[in-house]
Amino acid sequence: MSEEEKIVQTLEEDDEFEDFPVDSKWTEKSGGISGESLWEEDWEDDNSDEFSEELRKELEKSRK
Amino acid sequence: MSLSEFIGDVRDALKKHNAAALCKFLEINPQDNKGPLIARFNDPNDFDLYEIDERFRNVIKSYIKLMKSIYLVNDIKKSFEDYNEMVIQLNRYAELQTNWINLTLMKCCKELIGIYSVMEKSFPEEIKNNNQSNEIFTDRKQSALEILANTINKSFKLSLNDKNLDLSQSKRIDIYFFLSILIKIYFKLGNIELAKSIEKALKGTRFELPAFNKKLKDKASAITYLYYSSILSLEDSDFKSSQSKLESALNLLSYYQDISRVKKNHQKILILLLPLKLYNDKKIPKDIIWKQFPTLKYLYKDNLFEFILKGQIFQLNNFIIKVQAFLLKSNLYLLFENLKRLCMISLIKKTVHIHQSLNEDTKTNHIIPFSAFNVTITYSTHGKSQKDYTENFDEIECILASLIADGFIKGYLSHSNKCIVLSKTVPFP
Repeated sequence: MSEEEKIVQTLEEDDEFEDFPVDSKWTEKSGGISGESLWEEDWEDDNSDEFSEELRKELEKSRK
Repeated sequence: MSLSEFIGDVRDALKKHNAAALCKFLEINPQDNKGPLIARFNDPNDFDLYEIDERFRNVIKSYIKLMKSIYLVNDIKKSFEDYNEMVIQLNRYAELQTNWINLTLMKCCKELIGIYSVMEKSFPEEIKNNNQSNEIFTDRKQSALEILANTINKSFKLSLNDKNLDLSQSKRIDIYFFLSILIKIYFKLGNIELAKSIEKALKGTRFELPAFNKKLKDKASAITYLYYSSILSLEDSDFKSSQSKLESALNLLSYYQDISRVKKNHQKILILLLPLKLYNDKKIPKDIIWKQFPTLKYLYKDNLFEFILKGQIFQLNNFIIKVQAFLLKSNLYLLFENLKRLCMISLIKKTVHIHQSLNEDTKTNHIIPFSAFNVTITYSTHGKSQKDYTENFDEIECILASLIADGFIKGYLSHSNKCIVLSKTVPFP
């Protein structure tokens, strides 16, 4: 089984939200795993990737 | 320790509203190995119990019966039945009490679930078959999980219906404990409608509920509840509400001292939140997330999001098929059907950009012929070059019209000239 297939299988099998450990400890201060700082400002449109080049070629071909 | 001494201790705990002591007196594994001793007590009669609140008498009777099932009969199924009966009686007692009883009630609910888990492990096939029984037969015996759900539901309702306006003094202060257990059981039973019904009851209350902030006492239960509740919103295609619940869950989780201990739950929240954030806010996470969660990197960054952001329809469809069992199980399938539109927008943006770079006349490069979209959409859908691109302008026009109508594109279509005239200022708001 490939690495990818293993990941897909794990995702399919894993379904229950686990109970938190009995001795869970919580702090007063947030650990910074949430909030806006977690996200990129905006995703840039990448027009220089390989797929864009393929599209460009197809469009050029069709114009001839 | 004799029966009368035991009853005397319980009486004192009840009088003083000493929940911690009461919890100890209702332990199934009491200190100093007293379990077998309690199991040998005679069944108490009303005379033995005359000093005990009438509603609590049945709790004691059930407890001693339970101890006999555990220590003398050694029967896990009987123990579950007896423990369940004890919690039912405790619920009845709690009806007339203030929230001092919550601690005892929560402890007993937890222990009841523990007994259910042992029973499930001891008789996995029997329990599984019973839980999956065909619901058409309404006269069938209730499954153990349904019995458990009914009992916890009573505790939940006690909490929800406490009319004390002071939240700190109300049973509602611990509502997320009961709610999280109940919603999880309903999901396990596969009964989404019941899960939705408790959400409805929750929304219907006019009383204050604990806020999801850093002051919240039982963050673990609130996170669990918010996670399942977000799935209910996903089911209803209410993507904004689902995202908002997951963001609240993540915010509460950020107060966990050692986040690596709950990494699986952290990942489960992100599995749902990431595509929702992309759909609702057009935002993707920073690299730190991909580094921490290689599974998410493979699933989203390297595949699904990559294809969506690049406009690769063929690759996106193929990968969705590859992981469709997971998407269906996670209630994400519908969301990704919607995200296909984002993929189409990416492709259209790319087409416009390339067409403009090929068109030297800057005065007309906001006008894009349908033929250009016909080429790129066909190419992207098939994932390979075509010998000739059959004109399918009706479909192109429909796609563009729908995106204009939904505000993704600013411009208008010219049917006769077979082109789209884009806004010169903001073609893609």
